[in-house]
Amino acid sequence: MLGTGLSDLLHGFAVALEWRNFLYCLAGVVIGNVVGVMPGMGVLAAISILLPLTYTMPPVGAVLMLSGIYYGAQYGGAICSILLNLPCHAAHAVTCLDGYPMTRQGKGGTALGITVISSFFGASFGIILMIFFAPMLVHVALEFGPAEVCSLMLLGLLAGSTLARGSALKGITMTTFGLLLGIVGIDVNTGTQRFTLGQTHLADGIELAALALGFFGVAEFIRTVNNIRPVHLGMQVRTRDMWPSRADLRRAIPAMFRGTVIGSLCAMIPGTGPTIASFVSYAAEKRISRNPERFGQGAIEGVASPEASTHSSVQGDFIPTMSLGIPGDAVMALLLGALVVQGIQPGPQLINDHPDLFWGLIASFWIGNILLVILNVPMIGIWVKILAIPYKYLFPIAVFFICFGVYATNSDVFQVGETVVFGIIGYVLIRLDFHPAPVLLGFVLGPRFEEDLRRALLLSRGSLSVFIESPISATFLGASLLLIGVQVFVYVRGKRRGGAADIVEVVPSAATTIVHEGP
Amino acid sequence: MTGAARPDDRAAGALTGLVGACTAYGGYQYDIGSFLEMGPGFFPFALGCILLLLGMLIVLNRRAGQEAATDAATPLDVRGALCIVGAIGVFLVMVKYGGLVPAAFATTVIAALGDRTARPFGTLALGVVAVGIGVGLFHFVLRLPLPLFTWG
Repeated sequence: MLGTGLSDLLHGFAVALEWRNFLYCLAGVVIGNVVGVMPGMGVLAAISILLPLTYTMPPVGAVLMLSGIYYGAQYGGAICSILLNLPCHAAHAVTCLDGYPMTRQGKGGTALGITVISSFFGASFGIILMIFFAPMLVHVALEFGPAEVCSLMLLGLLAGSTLARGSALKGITMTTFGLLLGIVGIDVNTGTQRFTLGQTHLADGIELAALALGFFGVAEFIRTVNNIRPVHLGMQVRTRDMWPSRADLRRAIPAMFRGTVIGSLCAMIPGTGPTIASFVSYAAEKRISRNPERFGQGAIEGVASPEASTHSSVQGDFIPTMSLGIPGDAVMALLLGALVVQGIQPGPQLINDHPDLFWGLIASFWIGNILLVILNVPMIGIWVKILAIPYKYLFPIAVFFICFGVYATNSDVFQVGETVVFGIIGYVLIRLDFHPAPVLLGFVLGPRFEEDLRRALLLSRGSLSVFIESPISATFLGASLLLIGVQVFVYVRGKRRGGAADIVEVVPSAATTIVHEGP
Repeated sequence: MTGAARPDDRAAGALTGLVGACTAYGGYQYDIGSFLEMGPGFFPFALGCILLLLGMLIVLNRRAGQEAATDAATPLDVRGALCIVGAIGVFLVMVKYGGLVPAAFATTVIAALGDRTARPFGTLALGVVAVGIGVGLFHFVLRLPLPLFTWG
């Protein structure tokens, strides 16, 4: 298997380096880096905005670009946290804790340098993992019947809802709501119109772009308008400041390794994303350290470990998505949604049916990460300047893109109307302390889930026990129960202790600028 | 951020339960079928019941905010919200009465006015940039089937 893996990878490089795909990848990582640097514009919003535009692109290019945005944003996000103490994205909140003190000590450039090194290292590890693990997973998954797929999807849905931000209960509610929204439209089996409220436009279902842009674009803008703190950057960062000293490297490199391992483990578990990975690795680093009091004052391990962890987790996130077709979080759900629109069925057969896509994507990860290092090291000054663009210029252009983008999908004004309706609904949800990201998970998986459920029950002649009889399915169901059990346990224990027990201290008061993301 | 009013989970739970009840009712109307042959109403009915249950759990589960409820507690910025929603509304109209250029300009400018620190020059410049992107990217590159100027 190793031999074929390598030859497939080489083929993947050929695909990724084809000039059109290379440009798409480049566009993706640049946009991602920009989005990552700017506070107020989330990765989810950016991917949603570009989603309709990818419908006319070849599928390989589309996936390369959207993925590039995702991991590109991780590079940019650290810049904001370190230099300004502003976590632009939840995954980089931890980086503020030690990154900003380093800036204050004049070592901001070093922190950035270590970030880039750790990021590249973590990402590379994640990529290698994907190369070996994904085909293995596919091999196993091809043996799955509808009952197993159903249970796995259930596990994925539960994991995505309970491990994401906020209350697990509300997370599950959001996922269920997403499943519901996925039902709207004509039922393929019977031709019945479900929940279309008499609107012919809804017969094909709710448009993914409208939902995504409404929840993560419009709702976010309504929430953040006039709410973003203006950014003041009083310093210059030069490329030569970025090279870390020997002493720094000696402390940072082991931390990098540890962070990478933790990130990869988190990536394997569906539902845990870069944010959780970063928190866990920071906490672990602090606990392992011989001088934990240095953390919070500019300990370089506190920057190296979470960053490596975040990046390996981001690359690893693609594994269950590409090999099993089960998205781990909202971003992956969007990516899968984009593939479905292109007529590509996600699932274990993807690697065999579309090897170009799969291996081209993996190859592009490396190319993309190298591009990002090139972008971030010599051009660090530019990113710092972009940081300073006022939000009031960004969000109107974003609204413009939302309107035109959704309209461009199907030339259907109704769908732009859907977007604004979802924007309002999304805002209401946020005010009620729901986090809408899991809705996308449910929405994208819903139709497949119902389909497989129906098939499983048909094959078992209406008997529910088929889900427990199959050992694989039973394992997934058991894991799901375990997840719920853990949540209940934590809840009960929290009630008894009477307070919240958290791993990490409160992130500096930039809380208002944290944009809604997936986990 | 302290001192902000905690969002009322009763409303959240009630809303969830309501949506669940409506969905279950709707599902019931479309033939549920049986376990062997799932009807179109099966899945919606099941989901509706689950939502109903979740709604009740949310209400019962009210406890001290464990995560910073700041996102939920920040009050609505009315001007911003109206401008954003209004901008999209204007777009809906201008697709038919106006065309690509006026739509691009109006949508961007109205949305930009949502920011309290918006000033005439910056806002208008933003509108012009939007028209530029609209014409360049959407009209020429993507060939969006929206005429530059149209009426009715």
